Amino acid sequence: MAARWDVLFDGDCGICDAGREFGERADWFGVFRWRAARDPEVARDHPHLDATALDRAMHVAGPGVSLSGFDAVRFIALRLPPTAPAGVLMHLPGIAPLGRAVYGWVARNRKQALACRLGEPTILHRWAASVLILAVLGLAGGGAALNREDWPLTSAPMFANEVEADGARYAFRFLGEPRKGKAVEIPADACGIPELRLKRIFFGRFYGSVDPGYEYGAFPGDTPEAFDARMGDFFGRFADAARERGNLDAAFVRIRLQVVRQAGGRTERFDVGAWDIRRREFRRAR
Amino acid sequence: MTAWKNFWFSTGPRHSTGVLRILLAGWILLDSVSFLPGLSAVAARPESLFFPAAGLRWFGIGWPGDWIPVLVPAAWVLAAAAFVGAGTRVSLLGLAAVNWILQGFASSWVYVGHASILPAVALVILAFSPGVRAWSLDALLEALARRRAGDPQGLFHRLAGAPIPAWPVRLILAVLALTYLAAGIAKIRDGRADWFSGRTLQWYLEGQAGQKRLGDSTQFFVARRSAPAEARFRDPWGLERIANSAGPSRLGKLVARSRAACAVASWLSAVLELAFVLVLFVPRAAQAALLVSMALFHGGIALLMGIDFSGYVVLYLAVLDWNAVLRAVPSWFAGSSPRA
Repeated sequence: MAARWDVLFDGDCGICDAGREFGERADWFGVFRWRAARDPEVARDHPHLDATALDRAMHVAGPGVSLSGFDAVRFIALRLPPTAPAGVLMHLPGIAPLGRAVYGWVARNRKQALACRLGEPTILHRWAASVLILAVLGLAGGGAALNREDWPLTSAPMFANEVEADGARYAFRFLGEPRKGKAVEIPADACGIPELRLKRIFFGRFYGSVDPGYEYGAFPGDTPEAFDARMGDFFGRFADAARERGNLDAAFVRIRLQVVRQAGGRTERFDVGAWDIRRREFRRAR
Repeated sequence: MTAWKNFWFSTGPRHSTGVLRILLAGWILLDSVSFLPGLSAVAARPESLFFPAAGLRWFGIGWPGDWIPVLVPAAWVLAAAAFVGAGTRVSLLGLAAVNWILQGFASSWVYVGHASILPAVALVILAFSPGVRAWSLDALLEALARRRAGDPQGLFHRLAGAPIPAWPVRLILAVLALTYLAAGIAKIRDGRADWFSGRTLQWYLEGQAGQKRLGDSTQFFVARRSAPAEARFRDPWGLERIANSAGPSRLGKLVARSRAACAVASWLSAVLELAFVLVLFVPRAAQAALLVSMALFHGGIALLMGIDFSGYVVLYLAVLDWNAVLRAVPSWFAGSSPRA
């Protein structure tokens, strides 16, 4: 379909050009032709419009129509499918004087206060982008500065940790104890979570670190009583999830928590305590 | 204010966000082949032991497990649409949101998927960046329609879009720089003498954490024996932190035999991480040298420890002068290419 109306805009203005770009995309039926007002052919096609008026405001010109400023904007808005509802609102009583005032201010200040030259970001763009920049830098920098390690914040300690002189490593074991017979290790994934993750959850959210500043396992002011309560909480959740999946032997009466230290081929074990399955209570080993 | 404006809003390399959209969405598509299918197993984990990552908590997202059957196909469609540039802005915004939820979900089990952080943040930045329609299907269709309507502007010009401000690329670089800086500082703060003597790296390359099993365990911990007695009421050793799990390669194990080699690698990594922040301020040649060094550093990590940080390396490509690259490559562009 051939364009019915010409939209004459300031081709050197970033805001106006952004409006042109949007208007072209939203013009599904091709009713408007966007033309830079300084184009010599515009003066030939619309001799009744003088250059000063064209510089002052956007115009719509065509068969039976010659509008400028806010009136041109609402005329266009009403005829572009995505903006048609806004175009209707712009015709409500009382809106036009306000719209004309706002349009007039923007048009007058577009080159000075709004520093709006083609190819340069508009002031609105700069403000919005600055908010995004500050938010992203604040999160990334804040996470690093406050030593936070919680996706997507990272203080990135990753592989940076001290290692004991004998290169010791430590692991947790959950041992199911039947009333009679030998205790056996309950695989961590019995509850439906892979061992690697479950042991992290266990340490980070329940067991706790000796370093109260460590992201995972920081329980400032931790006490043995609070620790016992957390252990009870953890083993309750663990046992329930394992039982739900049919992975908890009904013969077990307690789940014993053991820390294993391994260094240089030597293995040491320490029983932290045990969780009574029936009483749902954790007791530290004395 | 002027320095802020000059730094972030001066004109940046043409094409950069459009090309980055293709690279990043392409990388996400490739990564999705291994990442997305595993999410149904994650969603089957018990909700009672779920601890959402900070990135989910900020938006009040509790348990996204029930949404996985919808989010995974959506991620595929959005990544493909963002890659080709179909409904570019909407698909990028959608992909940034869905990817954020899925990666946050996978990183919710007291585990931080470090390799996924920067691509996810970059995607959010990109979704709000100007110029992302460059080299998109949307831009191509529009250009062809305008050509039919007699628009004199060349296809290249329409596809490449207008010049854009520098802030999207600089912001991505700044986040990279902050992440590396934090990693470098962590080596001083947490690794201390053990890191710089090569001891810690040697320990990891020997496979002490993650590779050599101990009964059911592949997750290990380290202790601080010097912790005060009252802090050691849980166990006599004073467990302090989670050991990152690593699966060193044969080459990694070979390097682990030499403490000196581990020390050199440890020093190099810390120096590179601390120096990377210069990338924001140095001229292009030095910037390129830093980026290449960092790419080699990540290549080394992949080779020795099997950890894939390719998503970070993809982001480095945003810094390239794509205008020069695209002008140099296809000759049919030569006639109509604009000057940046």
